[in-house]
Amino acid sequence: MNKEFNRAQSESNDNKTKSKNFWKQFGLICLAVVLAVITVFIINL
Amino acid sequence: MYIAQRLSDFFEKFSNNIEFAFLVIISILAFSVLYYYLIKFLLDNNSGIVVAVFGFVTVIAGGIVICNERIGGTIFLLVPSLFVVVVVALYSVELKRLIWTRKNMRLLDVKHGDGSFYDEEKIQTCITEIIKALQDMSKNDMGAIIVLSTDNVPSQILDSGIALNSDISSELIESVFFPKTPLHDGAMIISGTKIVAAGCFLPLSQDMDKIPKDLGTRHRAGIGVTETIDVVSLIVSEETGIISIARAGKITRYADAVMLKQILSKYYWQELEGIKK
Repeated sequence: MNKEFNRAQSESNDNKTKSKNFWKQFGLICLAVVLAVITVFIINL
Repeated sequence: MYIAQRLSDFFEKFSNNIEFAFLVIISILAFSVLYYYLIKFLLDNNSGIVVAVFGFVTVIAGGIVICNERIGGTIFLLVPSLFVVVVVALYSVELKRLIWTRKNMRLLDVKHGDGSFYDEEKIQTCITEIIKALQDMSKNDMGAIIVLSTDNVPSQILDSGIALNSDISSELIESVFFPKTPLHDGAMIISGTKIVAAGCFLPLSQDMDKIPKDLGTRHRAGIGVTETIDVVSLIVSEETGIISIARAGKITRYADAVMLKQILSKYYWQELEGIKK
């Protein structure tokens, strides 16, 4: 019973970590694109 | 009004001139890739503050350029250029390690001279022998440093020791580090399934803040070599018998057999969890 609980807990933690990593990557990409747009826009003014 | 005028001019030029629009899109893609990898590198090295400062400087500089008629937009190129120069200057050690990591092959993909690949059973034996040696040395308070490399240790470190080119066995490892033997004071370099050299001198870590004060020169050497080269150091303390693992300039103390097996498995690029002996 304990083994099953630990496995389920471990899987749940893995899923949370994967989700967190996905949003972290997404945020990073958005930040990079926003800074790039600002840079290119200002250079071309 | 002036800002609105400049904005309007820009979008008009973007809509009417296909070549300009294409150039802008390519530039945005190129800068996005540059900023993504720079920011990721800084965040991976716990330097979020540098990212925040760069963002702040970008906003201020951008505001000055937009609001000032006399300043051309191209001068804003100085901002990303300076950012790159500052990152390279401040993080040269970490960048060097990143470049060296890219050159490393998977150890299991490395062929022997006769065309055969590494044998899984042999790797298991190597892992067992290294762990046994570390535990025996820990029990007997024998100081040791073992560096796990993928043929990426500079020749000046290898040349400072004695070449062995022998198979890995716990008896040999313990013999090398037995007190008062000629090779006991330096580091042992392991590459794959071979002990390449022993008695090697390693560069000491220069980061005095991160290293606990109770750790001596042996630990500083074990940490120092991992700061510039992508290797793992396994260190046994002579005073306490504690086994520590150093990687990328950081040290983890009180390593047990499970942790050692994980590190060694990862080194040999194998997933051994759940495999029974």
